[in-house]
Amino acid sequence: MPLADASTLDATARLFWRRIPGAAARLSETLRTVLRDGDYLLAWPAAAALAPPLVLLFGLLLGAAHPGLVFSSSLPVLLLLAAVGGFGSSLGLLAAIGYAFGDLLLHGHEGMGYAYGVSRFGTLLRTDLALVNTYVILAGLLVVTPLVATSVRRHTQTLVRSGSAGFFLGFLAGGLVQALLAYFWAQSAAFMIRPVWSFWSRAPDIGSINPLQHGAPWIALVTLLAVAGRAVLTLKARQRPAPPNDRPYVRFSMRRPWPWQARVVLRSALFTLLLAGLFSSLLEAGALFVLLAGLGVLQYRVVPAMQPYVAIVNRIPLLIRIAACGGGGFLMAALVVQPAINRGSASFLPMVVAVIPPLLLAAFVLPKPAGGSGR
Amino acid sequence: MNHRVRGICRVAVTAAAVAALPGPVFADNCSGLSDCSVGVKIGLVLAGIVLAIVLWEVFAAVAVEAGAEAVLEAGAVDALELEFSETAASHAASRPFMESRLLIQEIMESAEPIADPQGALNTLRWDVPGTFNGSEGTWELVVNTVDRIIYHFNFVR
Repeated sequence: MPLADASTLDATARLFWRRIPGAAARLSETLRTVLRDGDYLLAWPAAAALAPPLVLLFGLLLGAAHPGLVFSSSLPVLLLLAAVGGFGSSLGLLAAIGYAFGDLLLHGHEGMGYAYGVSRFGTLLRTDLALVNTYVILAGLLVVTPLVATSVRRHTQTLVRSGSAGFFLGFLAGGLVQALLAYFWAQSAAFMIRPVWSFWSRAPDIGSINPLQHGAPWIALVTLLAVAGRAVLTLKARQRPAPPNDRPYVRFSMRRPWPWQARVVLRSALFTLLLAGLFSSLLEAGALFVLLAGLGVLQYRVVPAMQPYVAIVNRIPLLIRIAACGGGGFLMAALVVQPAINRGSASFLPMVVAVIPPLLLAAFVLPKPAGGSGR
Repeated sequence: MNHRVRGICRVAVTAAAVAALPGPVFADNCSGLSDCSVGVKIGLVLAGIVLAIVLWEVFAAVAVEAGAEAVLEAGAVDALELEFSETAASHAASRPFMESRLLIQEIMESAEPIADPQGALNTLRWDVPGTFNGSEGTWELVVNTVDRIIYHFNFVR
């Protein structure tokens, strides 16, 4: 007996892949794009209707039942999550949300390295904030990376206009970029998840670090295979008739962007949180927040006013500018961090110092629009 | 067992063997910078951290460039490939929605087009009901699907 008739499946599929993204556009156009990234599934209404709730449940179960303190405590968990991200940022976002709720609400964190007898406020700042940090880091793999790959793929497909050649080259370029970013993500996440322990002045559990450091090539490989799976599905979707739409209606909103000051404060807070694993005191965190806010002022107010420089720099493909910032990080590691490691330094401060110049470079090569779309 | 299954088994066994081989020595204590960097190329780590931050920075811009993952039948129009005619582009300042490729893709996907009523060759027109910033109206889109040029794009209340 069928679970549901065809019209119910069609309606549910369109709800997940069209109506909810359309409604999300009232909050953010970026969120709409994320929620639609993976809508090749619409070619199979049953899959399009079932995949979102199943992936959300899958993330919830992983969050509730994963071994250890964080997602990186188990390589198979990491590989499963990486595989979901390979199929698109929408499914990745659902997996990340499910994981976050499962981990925060259902996973037993008591007695796993956390101190007892601490006030609720203390737990909120030290445990919950550190966990939220891990969810933002996880979203980097599951949401940001696939969307960057989609952007690369779509641009490649637009450049190579010939049908199947463009299709395959696009997926090859996008897949390689996503796998490479997944590899970098794994390397950096090993350092960025440290607040789970360092906020309690404890040494990190090496069992939760090694799967990231040791498993990075596997995470990249699984990501690449998942993207290949997505390519096959997209190819098959293109051979099927377009899904019916008996109620054509297009909603679009352009929200007034937040004041640039608010965006600078928010991004500085987010990036300070992402780098929290490298601090040994609140003073260091405060100093970095102020520095990042200064870079934000540069990026939002000073550099956008420097015409025609902005027009020239914006002609350089975005991916090259991003890669230049990553290359800056690589160079600074050789100049600042490696010598500190050779001296046997225990402090992570050299890493924080080394991150500043590439972010200064980012302020100059990734200027925000003067009006700021902020979407 | 056919050849394909045997081949898959061989690949799986080889992969498992490679995974089981002793790898480089990694950190055994991540409480300090030097301890946490054993067996790790710190340049890759720092590049990864910079990318983790920069990618969040450019996320909105990347999303705009990603446009829509077109659920396209082969040969259908892809919004990312379209360019505006000079006349259409001259309205960009007063029609900020023109920068959204996703919107253009949604309009094209949401309804069947008609041949351009003005009779332009290879040109289709979409008139789709919808909202812009909450106001009800109609999205109008006219595209030359061969030359990939948008002649007209507007929202009429």
